Amino acid sequence: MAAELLVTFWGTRGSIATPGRSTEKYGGNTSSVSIKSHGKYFIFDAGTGIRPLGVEIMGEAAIQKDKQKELFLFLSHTHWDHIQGLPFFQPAYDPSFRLNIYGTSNKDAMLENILVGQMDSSYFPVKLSALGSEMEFNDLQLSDTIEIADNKITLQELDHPGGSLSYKFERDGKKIVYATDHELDFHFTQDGELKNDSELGKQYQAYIQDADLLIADGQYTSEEYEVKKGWGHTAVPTLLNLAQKSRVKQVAVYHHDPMHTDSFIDQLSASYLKKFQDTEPRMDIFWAREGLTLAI
Amino acid sequence: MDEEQQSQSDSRTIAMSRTEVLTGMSRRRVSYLEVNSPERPRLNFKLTDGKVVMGRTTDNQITLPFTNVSRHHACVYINGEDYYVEDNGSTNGTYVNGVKIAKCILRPNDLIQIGATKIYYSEREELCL
Ligand SMILES: [Zn+2]
Ligand SMILES: [Zn+2]
Repeated sequence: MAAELLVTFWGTRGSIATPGRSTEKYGGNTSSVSIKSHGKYFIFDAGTGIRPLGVEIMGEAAIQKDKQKELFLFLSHTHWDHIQGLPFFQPAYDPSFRLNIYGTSNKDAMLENILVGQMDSSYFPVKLSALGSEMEFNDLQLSDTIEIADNKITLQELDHPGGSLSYKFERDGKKIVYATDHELDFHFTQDGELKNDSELGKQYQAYIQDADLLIADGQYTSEEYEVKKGWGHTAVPTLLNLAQKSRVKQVAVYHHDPMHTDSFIDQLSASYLKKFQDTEPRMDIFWAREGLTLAI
Repeated sequence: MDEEQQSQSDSRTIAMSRTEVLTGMSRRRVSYLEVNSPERPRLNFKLTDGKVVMGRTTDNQITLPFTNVSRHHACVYINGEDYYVEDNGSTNGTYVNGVKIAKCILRPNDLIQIGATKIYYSEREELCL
């Protein structure tokens, strides 16, 4: 793999981990994606999928002893399925790592306090403060731009109960958007048309325009969405039609519903691949699966 | 079945040794690639712990002698208990179920495409005797 921008899906499931035979293909671990950019790891969300990523990073660190061991973790929000893997992320225990964590405070608590709370002794045996790595918490503002070497990250607010943040990663003209836990249907019709002149909708559309890869919440079928309005997730046709209108080059449908088995997702994806196979401009679509790495 | 026969069959059931039961439970997973190239016989390739390289030249474990295939196009290898397919920076790409991949874990019935060659991944359980 000679490419310098590698995107790997470590957890693709939404809401709760779903181990077992019926989910082994698309995966049972909750949200976590890495972008390995010229050797540096940028991690998006710390659902249970971050645990195997930690194992991989420890393996690489053992080989490349003198490499800088700095990791960058961006949290969309602090619902369980986006933070639960953090206490099992091995590099966090290793003093030779520096872990930079980015996210937003919610109304009641600073990011650091929420993560400390998850490791309170009522829930977990080891305190966050006892972890060996050097950790830095960065509470972000929407207007922030994060530049790390030649990698640039910008933010967009999403529509989700309690809030959620999207991150756009840019490097050498390539754009990758990570946008999960988002109820796009409040702002767009299922045909991808803007609703009620939504300001957030306009911002979002401009933000994903021409993305090389859009990793986005597509938890529900349109039928499921009808009974799950207000739960903070998107219906597949809304996501895909808006992406098509925004000239996105490749879409990874992400944050799979815990009830969606491999065979269900196979059928769902087959029906949408057919619908979009001849559209102009060309847009590649796939349902994100655990253990898949793309070169962008 | 009268009462005496019934009790005999019961005792036979009990007589099956614990070792026999445990032996029956020992299994291992074996993985295969089924390689379908245009106008060539189908090849069934059993995967082991070794890395399998696929490409145009004859020094590959699986030779795909076609002009749109790179010399050492892609490889399949085991990591832990999972097999992966990885593209070796090929010119025309390696696809899994239609998605152009850099690397992908393999699950039963996955379709790997390299040029016009279709390669199916499958798994079987074998008893260890
Ligand atoms: Zn979620
Ligand atoms: Zn959420």
